[in-house]
Amino acid sequence: MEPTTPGIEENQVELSTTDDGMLDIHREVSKRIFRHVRKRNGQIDKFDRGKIANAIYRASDFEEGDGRALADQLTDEVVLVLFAKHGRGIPDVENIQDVVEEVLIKRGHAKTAKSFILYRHERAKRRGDPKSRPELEAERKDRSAELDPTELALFVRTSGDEIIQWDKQRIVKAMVREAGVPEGIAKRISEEVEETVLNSPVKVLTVSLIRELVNAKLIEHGLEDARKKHARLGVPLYDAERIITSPNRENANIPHNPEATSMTLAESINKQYGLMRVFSEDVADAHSRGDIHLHDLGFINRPYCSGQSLEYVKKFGLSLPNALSIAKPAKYPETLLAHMVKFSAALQGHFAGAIGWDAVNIFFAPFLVGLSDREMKQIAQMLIFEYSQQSVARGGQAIFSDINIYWEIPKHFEDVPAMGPGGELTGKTYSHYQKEAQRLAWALFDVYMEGDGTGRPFFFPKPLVHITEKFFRTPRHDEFLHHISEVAAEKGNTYFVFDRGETAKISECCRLSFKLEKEDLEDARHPWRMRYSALQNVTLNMPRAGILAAGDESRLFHILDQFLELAVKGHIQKRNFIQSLLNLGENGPLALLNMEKDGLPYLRMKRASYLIGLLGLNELVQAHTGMELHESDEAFKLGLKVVAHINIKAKQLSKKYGMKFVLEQTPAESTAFRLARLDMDRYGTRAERLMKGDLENKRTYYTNSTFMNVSEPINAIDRVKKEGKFHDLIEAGAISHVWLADSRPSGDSIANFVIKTFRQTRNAQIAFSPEFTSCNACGKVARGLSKTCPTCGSTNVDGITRVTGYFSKISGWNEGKKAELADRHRSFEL
Amino acid sequence: MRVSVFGRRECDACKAAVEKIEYFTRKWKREDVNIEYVDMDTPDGLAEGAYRDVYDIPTVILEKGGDEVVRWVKTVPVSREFRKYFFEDPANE
Repeated sequence: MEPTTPGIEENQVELSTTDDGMLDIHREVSKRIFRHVRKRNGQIDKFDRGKIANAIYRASDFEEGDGRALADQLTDEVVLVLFAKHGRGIPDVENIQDVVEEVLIKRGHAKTAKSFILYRHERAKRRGDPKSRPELEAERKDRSAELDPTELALFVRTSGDEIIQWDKQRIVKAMVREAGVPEGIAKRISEEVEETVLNSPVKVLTVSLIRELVNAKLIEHGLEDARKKHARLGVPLYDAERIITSPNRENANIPHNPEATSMTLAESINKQYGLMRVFSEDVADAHSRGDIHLHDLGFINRPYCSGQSLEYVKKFGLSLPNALSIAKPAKYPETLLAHMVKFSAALQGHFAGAIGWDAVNIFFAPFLVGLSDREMKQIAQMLIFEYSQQSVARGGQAIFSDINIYWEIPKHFEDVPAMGPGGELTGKTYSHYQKEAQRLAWALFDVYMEGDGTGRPFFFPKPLVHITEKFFRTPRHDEFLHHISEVAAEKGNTYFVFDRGETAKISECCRLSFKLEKEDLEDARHPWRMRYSALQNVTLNMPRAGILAAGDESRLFHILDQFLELAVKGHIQKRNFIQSLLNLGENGPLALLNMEKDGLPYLRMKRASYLIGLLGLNELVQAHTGMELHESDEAFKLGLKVVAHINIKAKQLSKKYGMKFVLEQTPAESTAFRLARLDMDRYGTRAERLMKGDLENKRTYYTNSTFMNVSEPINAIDRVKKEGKFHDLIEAGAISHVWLADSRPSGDSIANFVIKTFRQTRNAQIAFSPEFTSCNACGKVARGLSKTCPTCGSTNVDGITRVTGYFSKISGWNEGKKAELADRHRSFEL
Repeated sequence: MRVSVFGRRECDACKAAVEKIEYFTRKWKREDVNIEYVDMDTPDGLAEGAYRDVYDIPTVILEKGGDEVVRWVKTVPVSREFRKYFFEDPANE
C-alpha cells in the first residue's frame, strides 16, 4: 500500500535562519556540495536535491507555494547536515534519508517526519529490504556483483580484462597492501580520488588512470615513498604503437616482427622495474641522468653473458630443468651440434648478452674421426647456418653467439682426457685430436669464405681465432693464418684474439674476454666446469667527468671515483637481485642456472665478473686538455692515466667487496648515442664542442670506449699500436677495428698485419671490417656501400658492415651509429 | 742516460733491481745517470708502464738521449750486463 500523504504540521516553526541572504548562501552551498549519490544497488547517480525536496514535500501537507519553499529550505539544511556528518564523500540514499528524518524532527516537523518514516518503511518493505545496515550493505555488494556492467553509471576496466564496478575500497586495500599506507589515510585518499573521478566527465575508467590519480594524491599527502611502492609500470599508448609498427633502433640485432615487438614491450617494463625496485634511487637516478649507464635493464632478471665449454653438453647431454624431454649425451656429431645450438638458445633465454663457446673445434674433434672432407664441411656448414638462422630465439633474434677456435691444442688442454661419443672418455688426450680439430677449423673458414646463400657474410656465430706463441710453433700455422686472413679480407668475419705469453682467454660478445686465472686453469682438467659469466655491465660517462672537472685534475679523478662507486653499488644491487631469484631454486625463474650437474650450480656466482664499461675516453681528454687522444702526447698520457686510475680503483673495490670488478671497452651500440644526447641537453656548448657526428641534425655520438677518433686518418698499424697500449689495463676485453670499406687487401697483407700486431703491439684483439651492399631485388652482394645495386640498379638494397663488434644491416642502426659510420676513416692500405 | 725500474710494492726483486743499479752507479761514479723507480701500483706509474709497453715486473729500461737502448723483463740484470751500456761511450771509460 502506498503511504498516504501526511497532513499539515501543527507544530510548524520558522527556520532559525531568517536572514534571506543567509538562506541564499545556504542554497548556493547546498547546490554545490554534492554531485553524486550512491543508490541502493551501488550505482552512482547524479545528486539531485530536487528529489529530496520533493520527498519532503510529499511527506508533508505543506501548502503549495510556501510549502514548496519550506521543503526547499529544509532540503538545504539536509544537505548541510549531510556534509557536516559525512564530508564531501558520496552520500548514499540511506544516509540522506536518515538526515531528512533528523532535520524534520529537529525543526519541529514531527508529523512530516512520522509520515516520511512510514513512507520509508513501506518502501523498504516493498523492496523486501532487511532492516539492518550491515545487511543492507551486504546486499548492495551482492547486487553490484550481478550487475550488467553496461548499466553502470561508472565502471572500471581492470588490467585483467574485466569491467568491474567502481569501488573505492579497492583503492584503500591496494594502498594498504602494496605501499603500507595507514588505513585512515588510505580511506581519505580514496574519498578524494572518488570525488575527482565523479566530478569528471569520465564514465569509463581504467585501473591505470585510477592508480595515477591515487599516486597524485599520495604526493599531495607527502607520501612519496608510498607512491613509489604503489607505482604502476607500463608503456604509453603512443610508445606501444610505435614499438609495434617501427623497428627497434637500440640493437641492430633485433629484427622487426611480432616476437621482437613483444620483447621490446617486455623490456620496457623490465627497465622500469629495474630502476624502481632493483636499484637504489641514487643509482637509478645516476643512470637516468647519464652519469653512468646500466646496460641491459630490459633484461633485468638475467645475468649479462655466458661463456662455456662444449664438454658440458657432451658429458651431460641436453637435460634442462622444466624441459619436455631429456636427451642423453650425443653419439654423433650432428646430434652434438643440435644439442649445442639448443642449449645456446636456452642460455640466450637466461642471459642478456652473448653466448660463447670455448675451443669449439677442439671439443668437437673426438666426434670427427674418420670423417671425409665433404662430411667435415657439412658439419661446419650446419654449425654456422644453425646459429646464423636461429631467428626463433628470444625476440626473434639470432643467438648472439661466439665460437673460440684454436689452430693448436693450447697448453691447458694438451693433457686433458678427451671425451667422445656418449659422454665416454676415449682413452686419449686432446693432443691426439689436433688433426680433426684443425680440419674442422679449416672447414669452418671455408664456409665463412663462401658466405650465405647469396654470398653475404654470416653475422653469427662470430669466429674468434686465438693467436698464441704456440700457434706460431704449430705446423701449417702459416697456411691457416693465410686462410683466415683471406676470410677477414673477403668477408671480415675473423676476429684475431692475441694471447701473449702465458695468457689464456675465452672471448665472446663484442670484445669481452675472460682471462683464465689459476683456478680456471685447474678447471681446464675438467673442461665441463669451465663456464664464465659477467653479471652486468655498467658504463661510466667519461666525457661528462671531463666536462664537470673543468680542467681541474684532482676534481676529474674525484668525479670518476664517484661514477665508479655508483657503478659498483649498481653491481652489488644487481648481484643481490639475481641471487634472490636464484634462491627461489628449481621453481624460480632462473632454475636453469641453478642446475647442478657437476655438483656446482651452472652459474657460479662467486666466480662471476662485474664489468666497468669505458666510454668516450677521447672526449674526456679533449674536455680536459683541449686535445684529442691522437693530437698530443699529453692528451694520450692523460688517457692512459685515467684508465690506469680506474683499473687500480676497481681492484681496490674488488678487494673491499669480494667481487671481481673488471674494466671492459663498452661496445656502446646505443650508449655512445644516448650519453652524447643527454650531455648535449644538460651541458649545451660545453658538451657540443666535444661531440662527434652531425651536430646540426643531432646525430651525435661519443667515441666508443678507449678508441681514438674514428674519423682521423691514422695509419692502421699506428692506430692498433696506440689503442693497444690501453688493452692490458682493460682486462675484460678490448678490440681495435680496421675499417676496410670497399678496399680488398690481400690475405697476405692481413696476415702480415696480424703478425706485426702480435709481435709489436699490446693489442688484445683486432678485426677487419669490409662493407657490403646486398640487393634484395637481384640477390647479388657487392663490395662497398651503395645506394643502388651495382648489378641491377635497384634501390632495394641493404648496407652491411660491423656496427660495434658484429655485422648487421645499417638500416637497423641508431642515428648516432649511422653518423659514426659516415665519419669512419677507412684504411685502404695496411 | 736514464735507467727506469718498473716495479710494485710487493715485488722484492724490483727493490733489489733499484738498489743494485744505484750501488753500481755510485761505485762506477756515474752521477750523471738518472735512476727512476716507477711504481706500477699508482695510476701515474701504471700509465707510464702502459705508455712504454711495460706489463711485467721487474722491468729495467735503459735510455740514452731519450731513446730506449735495452730492457730487461722479469729479471734483475747482473752488473756486467748493464756495465757495458754505462761505459759504451769511450769518453766514459
